This record gives sequence, structure tokens and C-alpha cells, in this order.
Amino acid sequence: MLTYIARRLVTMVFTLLALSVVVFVVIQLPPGDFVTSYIATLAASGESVDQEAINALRDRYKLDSPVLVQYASWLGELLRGNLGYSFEMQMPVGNIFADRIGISLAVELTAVVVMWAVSIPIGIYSAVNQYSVGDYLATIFGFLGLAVPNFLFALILMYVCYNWFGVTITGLFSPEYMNARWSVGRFLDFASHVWAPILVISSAGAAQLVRVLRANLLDELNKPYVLTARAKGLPRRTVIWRYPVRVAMNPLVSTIGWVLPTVISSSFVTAIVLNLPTLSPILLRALLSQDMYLAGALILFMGLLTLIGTLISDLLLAWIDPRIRLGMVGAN
Amino acid sequence: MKYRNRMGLSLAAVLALTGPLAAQTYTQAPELEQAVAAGTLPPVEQRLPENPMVVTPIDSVGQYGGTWRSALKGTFDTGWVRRTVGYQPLVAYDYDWTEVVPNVAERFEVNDTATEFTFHLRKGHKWSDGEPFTADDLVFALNLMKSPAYGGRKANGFKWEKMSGEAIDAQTFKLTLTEPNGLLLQRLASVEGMFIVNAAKHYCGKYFPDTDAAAIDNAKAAGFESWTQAVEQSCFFNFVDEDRPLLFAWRQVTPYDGLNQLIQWERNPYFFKVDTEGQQLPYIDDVQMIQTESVEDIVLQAVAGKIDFSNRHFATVANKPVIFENQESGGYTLTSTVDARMNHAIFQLNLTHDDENKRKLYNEKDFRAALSLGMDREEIIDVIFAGQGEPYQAAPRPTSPFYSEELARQFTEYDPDRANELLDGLGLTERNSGGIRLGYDGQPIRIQLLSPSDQSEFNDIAQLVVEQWKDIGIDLDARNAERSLVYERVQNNSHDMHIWWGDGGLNDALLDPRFYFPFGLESAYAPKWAQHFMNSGSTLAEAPPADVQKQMDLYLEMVGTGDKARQQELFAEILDIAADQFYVIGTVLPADGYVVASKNLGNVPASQIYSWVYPQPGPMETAQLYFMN
Amino acid sequence: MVSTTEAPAGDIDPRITGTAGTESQWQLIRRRFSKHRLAVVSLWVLGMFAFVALFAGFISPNDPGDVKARYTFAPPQGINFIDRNDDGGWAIRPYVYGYDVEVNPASLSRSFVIAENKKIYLNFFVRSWDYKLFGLIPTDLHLIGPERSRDPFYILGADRLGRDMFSRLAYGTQISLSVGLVGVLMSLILGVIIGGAAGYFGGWFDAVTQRVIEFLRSLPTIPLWMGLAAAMPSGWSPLQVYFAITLILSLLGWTELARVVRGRFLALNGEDYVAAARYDGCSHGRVILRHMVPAFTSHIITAASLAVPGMILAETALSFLGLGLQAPVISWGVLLQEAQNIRTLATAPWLLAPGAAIVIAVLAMNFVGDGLRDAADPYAS
Repeated sequence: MLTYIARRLVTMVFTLLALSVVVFVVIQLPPGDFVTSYIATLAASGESVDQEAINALRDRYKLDSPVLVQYASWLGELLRGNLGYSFEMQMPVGNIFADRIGISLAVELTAVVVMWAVSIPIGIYSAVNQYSVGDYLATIFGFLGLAVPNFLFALILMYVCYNWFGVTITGLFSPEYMNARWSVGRFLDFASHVWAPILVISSAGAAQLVRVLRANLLDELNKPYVLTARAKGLPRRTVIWRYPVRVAMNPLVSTIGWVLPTVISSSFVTAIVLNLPTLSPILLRALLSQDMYLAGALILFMGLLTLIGTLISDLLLAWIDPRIRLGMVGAN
Repeated sequence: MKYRNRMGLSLAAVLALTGPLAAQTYTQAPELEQAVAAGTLPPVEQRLPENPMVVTPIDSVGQYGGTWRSALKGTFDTGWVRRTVGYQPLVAYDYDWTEVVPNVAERFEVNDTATEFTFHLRKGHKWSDGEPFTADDLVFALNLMKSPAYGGRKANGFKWEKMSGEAIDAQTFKLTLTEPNGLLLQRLASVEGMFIVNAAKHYCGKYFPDTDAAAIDNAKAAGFESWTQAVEQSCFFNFVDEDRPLLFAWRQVTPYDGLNQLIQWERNPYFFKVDTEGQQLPYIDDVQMIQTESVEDIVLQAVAGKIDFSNRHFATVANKPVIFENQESGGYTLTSTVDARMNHAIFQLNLTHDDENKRKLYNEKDFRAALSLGMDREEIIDVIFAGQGEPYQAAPRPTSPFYSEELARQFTEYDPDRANELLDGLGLTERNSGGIRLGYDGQPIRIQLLSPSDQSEFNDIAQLVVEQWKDIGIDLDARNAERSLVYERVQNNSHDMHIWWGDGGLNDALLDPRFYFPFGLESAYAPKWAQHFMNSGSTLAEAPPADVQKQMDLYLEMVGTGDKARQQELFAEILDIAADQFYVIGTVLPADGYVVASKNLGNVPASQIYSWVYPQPGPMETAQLYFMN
Repeated sequence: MVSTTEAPAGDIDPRITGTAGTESQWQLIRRRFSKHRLAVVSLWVLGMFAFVALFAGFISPNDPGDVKARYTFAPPQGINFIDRNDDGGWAIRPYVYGYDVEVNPASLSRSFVIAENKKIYLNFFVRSWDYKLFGLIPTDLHLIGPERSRDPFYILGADRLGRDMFSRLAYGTQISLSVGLVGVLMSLILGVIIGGAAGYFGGWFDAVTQRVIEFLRSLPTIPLWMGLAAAMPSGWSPLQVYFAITLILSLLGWTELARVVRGRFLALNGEDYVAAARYDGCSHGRVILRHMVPAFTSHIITAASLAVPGMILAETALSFLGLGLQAPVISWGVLLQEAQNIRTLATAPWLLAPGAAIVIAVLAMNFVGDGLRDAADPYAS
């Protein structure tokens, strides 16, 4: 087992390296650079910058040196633990991470947990009562969550909540708690705001999970051993839960790998519309303004999360399913 | 308004009679009273300067209390901060934007040749941390900004090598120029001039190697990469350091660093202004600005009544219907603004294009005239601006003293026949199968226009013009593009055409005449000639034709004289040449804009000028806003 | 199961003709598919979309790019079918009510009151604006239109420039559906070739492909799309941009299909009949085409049909962010982006119709895909 984990970790490092190259290239691809977008932003607010300031900025940020040199220096710094500097926010990238990562992870992990908590019972019910009204309803609502684009859902939710309930759901905190320290009050405030983004973010993923679970459980329920168990008189509930559900959960566990980046991606647009203080709006701004170190660090982080997620899901799978454990390369 | 004048006159008379106000009693906000009683704050007479500035409220004397809420968009919205809480310059624009009046400086003198400016400060004027504010601070700020070692962003429009400042005594600051600058006071009063009162020597001195040998270490200790960055971020334009002492009516509690969502300001106990009854300003206790990423969020906040006074980012023509409808339920009203912008969208052909054929074609005045005549401005007004506005070129507004009928109205009629005539007259008589005329190179005339995708108005206007110009045989390829791409191309002189709104319609025309001759980076119709004027060593610079050069010379002459009448003369000459040249094609003169103001807010002006240079709402004196209940 | 009953009169007993129990694979699939009611309904819905996409010009009563100052933000008119005369008689004749338009200068909006005294009769197969059917045949025949072509006819209302929402939606369907289809087609080609090779030949090629797929799947999509879309040269024509966008979308989407194909190939490699075919001396090509392809075609179709919605949603996300397809191209994503603001939600909610179109299309494709998946393996019990 340890050998297996070790091998996976080594592969992960190589993957991250490859990822860093791709990321760096893609960020540099758009024409112009950070300074151009800085000028554009200022112009849009009504300000203007003069040529000397622009030259000075380009000098300061060494944006004129060749791409390879920039990449090499970035990689070097990364390996030394220095995440670099954000042009736009004028502070070390590490600071930005430290400030926002807590909330980011909290929102996203809650979304994942909610997704699972909601989709498992619905998936099971759907499969067990196939083609019933409940099944159709669950399917349709699940798919609705999948089909409605996130930003549209968020905007409509925003407007409907205001119009019908007089509540503005943007942001994660009320003004009095925004800069305050964590306390019970702040936590309750957070909970009262976070339901909206969770609803929007988890809707798409939940639908996928329901479908996967339903399909797999159906496959299992149609197998001979289930029929035998029923024929032998085991109560319905036991029949369903003892083996089929556990087997059907396998693919579900393996979905952890892609669930996390999906959540991050879908929370991306939602965070803009709903003004969440997470890493997503920062990433979007960094990409649009070509703030390369910040964008690069964030994307690498997302990639790292995915890889860790895949590793965890593979390990979990191995733990749950002895067949896989025995078949694993590098296992005893 | 009448009340104000009467009050102002009679009070002035009283003040003149009573002399120094040593016996005047001042009152302060309740929370400050408590602090004084508890011994944590000196009494109000000691906090105010000996001669505090008396502000006459717009409507009525106000009462203390309340929180002013508004919204910021993204990390770079320091503009809004500077316009609202931050407009306390050395000298300021008056409300009508006709002259420069004292503000932080109690009074000032200029010599005849506009080379010596003397400012007299108030004795006892203190920074927001209680330290004394003296002429030394001004000298320090100037030296810091002009220091060649400071590599950060500098204020626009000043020639640093030609300026030097000295402190004659603690309350007298003298600015000496090696060559005359008749616009210096205007610049100091504009949004760019505030730097000089934003850098306290006792606080920012630690970041400047000339005043503190340990500057680099201090900067690093504070988390910055260099002392330049420390100065730029915490002492001049940005507001990332909440401990920095200021002269504003409110002092900063939360840093605006892009991470905090709520930027909070609290009352500054050392603010130097009082109202006509001796109450220390500001009336409002706190200011809260919420940083958000999406404009739609701000619109929703406004509609829900969570914005007390703002028009930043969201007060557009497109949003007016929904904001207008919700006034009752949101508990706010709309006041109006007179836009200093003189045009909603200006189409700028690149007259210094690198492609020979295009350059030849674009430089034909008849070509531009034809394009302008082929534009149906009434349709644009009807469709996009709900019938508000009038057809207009890039020219000062009708109410401006620089208004020129010719510059403003030439070629604004919709006359496609005449346009076709003009184009035929240029020899562009052949057309391709789609009806598009062939240019001098035998290719169909295709003008590519990229408009920033986050300004939907531009693209809408452009789409209308695409159809209109088909009738005169011109193919306008108009599309959205990401804005930094748009700017990249303009910077490199690789664009055919650019579109932007028109600043410079009122008094900002003198400071920013970008559309009247190639002046700066925003003169996208002639980047090469603008680079020549800016003289910053760019490889793009190219000497312009004689007429354009004449305008540049006239402008430099204008800046060099302190005589206001002469300035106006010279500027009028510049505009005459601009009318002849007809550089750019304007569309619509903007009608009044609007501001959302809570119904509960008092001393809100019914109408105010809206401009970047006169940083609305700044000159109305935001410290006099108050909540009525 | 031998039946002893008489065959119905007039029918020839299939046992005699020898066709009993010999339905082809496709007929079996179709039978199982039709059991899934939602899927069948969805198939009809998709057919309707396809019709709209093909005949967009024919269906649209107005030119989608036609700007009308007078009717900015005009609400939908609602077609009435029963025409009552003043003297009590009635006839079945479709018509809409006209508008009384007033501009409100204070709020900068137009108010539209449905004017019951202005009846605008509608005709079928009218001649109005010029277009090219299928992009080839110039004509001016339209399915429906007002009697007098100057009268306003807005089934789904008008947008901020007075353009007909219904016509724009129809044209948007063309682009959006085709982006999805073309993108999936490209993904399919990439996925089948690479995944198939990996699954069939195995060994080091398989291992390398696995790693590459894993790598691609760990890439966060939105930032990469953004980067690629922002890097597109601005000089390209809308058509080139369109293909570039589909290529970009499919470059990241082929991994899923490759995975499915590879999985299927691996499973099939172990099947007896495949081994038999190989021992028989069949060439690789024959083994693949004749024996393996029929077994997994249905799976591929399923996976492909489930990938289309993802493409469509991705296109809308890109447009929302300001990249991807932009005005003046008309796609659902572009239309949604234009409607994505409070002003529209509050005063002109009909402009969110593209959102409804997306939802319906995505749902329909998912149900069809589901139905296909249930029916894909007709030999399962």
C-alpha cells in the first residue's frame, strides 16, 4: 500500500510540473500583458495614465523579458516556496491565499457534502422505485439543476429572493460581521447567507451524482443474487442496503476525483454574480488582467486539489472494495 | 440657494466684525464628547485649527449620526474613495466649477507670471492622528513625488523637474516654478492634485530614503517589496494602509486591499471644518463601502435601498428604468447630474495608421465627413438612449465658455446622399458585389472596430452604425473584444478605429483636451502624434503636420500664462483648428445623469456636475451630508 | 415458447415465414428505447429544435438583426386565435393586438400598453424579409407574419434594440446546437481513435494515454478556456472564431469519450467471440469493424449524446465571461449574456427565453441519452 501511495505521489509531482507549463503558456497567450489591462481598467473608471508611468510599470515587473526566462524564474521561486507577487493586488500571493482559502474551502466542501447528502437518498429512492412518479420528479428536478447555467440561476435567485422576500442574498456576511472575528454570531450569519451559493453550486453536481447512483444501483438490483435474497424472504430494506447499495457506492466514491474541480469551476461564475469572498473572483480577475503569478498559483492549486482528490478517491475505493485492493499494482 | 447666500453673507459680516474666533464655542458629535469626557481625546477647540473653515450647508444645518453606505467595484476603485471621502485638496474647485477656492489652504497668492504660488495654512491644523499639519508636510510630499528615485505612479499633468517647494514658516508653503504654469492651481484642485496633502512627513517619512536611512527595511517590515511600492500603496494613490494619517472628514478603519469586503471609515476627530453654527463636521458618523465584483449586485443594492448616496458604476441609461421604478420601495430619490462628458461615443479613425492606403484614406477630411453624414444619430438616440440627448460632435458642451457651433454641429445631419457624393468625389466609385466601395488599394473598404466587451453601449451603437454605413458603401466590422486587447492594439498603433466616450466637455477641457488635439494616450485617433507631444521617448513618436503642431504650440503657450483671459483666447484658437481638422466623429451629447440618494439624507444637491477631473461628488463638500432621522 | 393458439386471421404465422425472434439489434434498441417515455418525448422535442435550426429563416417573422427604435423592450404580444367581430360573430383567425407606445422621459423607458383596438391579423406563408434558406436558397417566404409588414409582431417580445426575440432565438438555435454537435463530433473522432487504440493495443500506449487523460482531466477547464479564447486573433471572421471555439471546447472534452471507448475495448477484448475471430485469422481491421464496433456503437452514441449538453453549457459560460462567441453573432450564450442584468429581470423577463431554450434542450438531450443508455445493451435482461 505504501509503495502504491509513493508511486502515485511521484506521478503527481510530474503532473503538476506539466500543469505548470501548460498554465504558464495559457496565461501568457492572450495579447498584451498586465500593464495593458491595468491601463484598460483605469480608463474604464475615467482615469488616465501617462506613458512614463507605463514604462516604469513594465520595467518594474520585468514584463519585457522572454517567456522562458519568466517561466524559469517563476518555477524557481515556486520550488523555494515563494508563490510570487500579485501585480493587481500589490501583495504576496501567499497573503491572498491565506486570507481567502478558509472561506473558499468551507464553501466548496460544504457544497460537496450537501451534494452527497442530498443525492444519495434521492438516488436510492429513484432506483428502487424506478419509473414511479417520484422517480420522474427527482430526475426532472435533478436535471433542471444540471441544465440551468449557474450564472443565470444565481441571478434569478438573487432577484426572486429580493422581489418576493425582500432579502438580498449577495455576499456571505452582513456588513456588521464582514470584518469581525469568528464568533457564534458570525457563524450563524454565515449559515444564513451560504445557503444561496450552496444551492446554486451543488445543483449541477447533485444531478450527476443522482444519475450515477441510480444507474449503478439499477444494475445491481437486477442481478440474480438480489432476486435470490428476496426469494429467500429477506426484508426489502435489508436486501437493498446490505449489498447493492454498497456496491453501487463504488463508482460514487470514484467520482470524488472530478467532483472537486467541478465544484470549483461552477462556483467560479457563481462567486462573481453573488459576490462571494472566495478565491474565485480573484482568479477571474487575475486571468482577465493577466496577473500571471496569482493566476498561475491559483490554477496550480486547483490542479493539486484535483490530483489529491483522485488519490483519495482511489484509496477510498481500495479500502471499500477488496477486489480492487488485491488487484492494485504495488500492493502486497 | 437664497438661504445659503444670505446666511453666508451675514455670517461673513459677523465674522469680519468679530475678528479671531478665540471666543467661539464649537460643538462636536456625541461620541467624541464622551471620549473627551473620558480623557482619551483633547477638547474640540484644541483639535480644530485656530481658524477652522466654515462650510455653509446647501440646505440646512444638520445633525450628527448615521452611516453612509455605498459600493466599490473590484480592487481598483480608489477613484470612488477619492471622490467621496477623499476630496480635501490643498485648494479646491468651487461647486459651480468656475474657480479655484481655498480648502486646506486658508488663502493663497499667485504672482503675475504664474511662477510663484504661496499657500497659507491654518495654525493648529492637525492630521487625523493628532500630529500637527504644517508646510513641512507639503514640502515632503512634493519632494517625495518628484524624486527621481521614486519609481511608482506619479500624479498626472505636473512637470516635476520644474517645480520646487519650500516652507517659509510652519504655515506658509511656497511653490516655485522655473517656467510659468497657468493651469497649476486647476491641477492642484483636481483629483490629481490631492497627493500633496496625503503624505504626512511624520508617517510616510519612514519610507523615503532621503528622510530615513532605514526606509528600505521599514518598507520590507511593512510587507512591501520596495520603498517605492510602500509609498505608492500607502502614501499616495491607494488606501491599503489604514493607519496613514489623513486630512479627510473620515479616517480609515479597514484597508482597501482587495481582500476586505467592507471598507469602513469613522469620523475624524481632527477634521478642520465646522458648519455655520460651530458644529464640527462631518455630521455622518461612519462611511461603509462594500467591495463587490458585479455591477448587478450594486444595482440590486441600490434597488433595495442599501445605497445612501452614490452613482458609481451603476447609474447608467440602461439601468434607469428599474432604479426609477423602485424609488418608493427602496426609500430613495434620484437627483440629477450634468455630465461633463460631451459625447456618449466618439468614433476615432486612426490617422497615423501604419498601412499606407488606410492612412491616406482616413486622412481625407471628406472621407470622415462622409462617414459622419452617413450616421443616423437620431436613430441612435431613439434606440439606445430612449430619446434623450442630441446629435453632437466631439466639442465642448453648449453651456461651456468654449462652445463652438462649428466644432459641435458640423456634419451631424443625417444625409446619406451627400455622403455618397463626397465618397464618389474621392474617387471611390467602384464597388464589390456586396455594394461595398473599393478603396485605393482595390480592396473593399473595411474598418475594424473593437469595443471593450464590458461596455455594452459602445457595441450597440456600433451595430446600428454598421447598418447605416452599409448604405454608403462602407463595411464596418464592429465586434466586442476583451478590453485589454482593445487597449493593446491602441497602444501599438495597430487599430483601425477606436470608440470611447468624450471627456473634456466643460472645464476639464483645459486639463484634458484629448479630442481637440493629440494630447495623450487617450487620443486614439493619432497615437504617433500624441507620443510626439508627450515627448517621453517612445519609438512611435512622429512629427505631426503643421496645423496639428500649431495646436500643440498654442497649448504649451496657454499653460505658460497665468492670465485667464489669454488662456481662453489661446484655447479658442486651438478649438478653431480642431473644427477645421475634424479629427473624430462624435455621436450624441449626453443628457443629464442621475444619482441615487436616500430619502433620509439631507443637504443633497439637486443637480451637480459629473466629471472625473471635478471629482463628483467631492466639491459639494460631502462632510455636510446628514441623516434627517 | 411454443404457442398452440391459432394465428390471427389474415396474418401469416411468423413461425412459418421464419422471421420470429429475428429482430435486428437496432429494432431491439428502438423497442427498449420507446419504453422510456421521457426519452421518447425528448426525442420529439429535439426534433423540433432541429427543425427550428434548419428552417430558422423560414420560421422567423422578423429579421433578427433589425433594429426598431420604437419597440425597444416591447413585451410579447400573445397570439389569439378566435376573432370576435363587433356584431357578435366569430371566426378562427390568428391575430395579435398592437401597442400603444409612450416614452417616459423621467424613467427613460417606454411603456407598452396592449391596444385592444389595434388588431393585427396574421397570415401564413407570407412574403417579407429576404434571407437564404439553408444559407443557400435566397427567398422571402416565411411561415407566419403580420398582414401588413410594417406592423409589429413580437411573439416573444423585443430586446433592448427592438429586435425580435423569437427570431433571434431561432437563429441562436442554429449556432448553439451546431456548436454542440460539431464539438462533440470532434471529441468523438479524437476520443474513438485514441481511446480505441489504447484499449485495443494496450501496453505502453495505453499507459501513456491514461496518464495524458488523467492530466487533462485535472486541468481546471474555465481558466484554460478563457486563456485560449482570449488568445484568438481579433482579425478572424465570426465563422473562424466559431470553429475555433468548438475546437477549444472539444480539446478538453474528448477525454471522457476516450475513457468510455477504451473501457469498452478492454471489456470486449476479453470476449470469446473476439478471441475466436482473432484465432480465425481475421485482420485487426476486420476484428474491430465487424465484431467489436457493433457491440459498442450504442455506448458511444450514448456517451456522445450526453456530452452535447456539456458543450452547450460551456459555450454559454464562455459568452457570459465575455469570451467565446460575441455579438453580432447570435447564440444562446450571447443572448443570455445580453439579458444577464437586473434591469432585464425586473422589466423585461421575456428576454430570458434563451435560458428556457437551453434548459429544455439540455434536459431533452440528457433524457435521450439516458434512454439510449438503458436501451444500449439490448441483450441485457
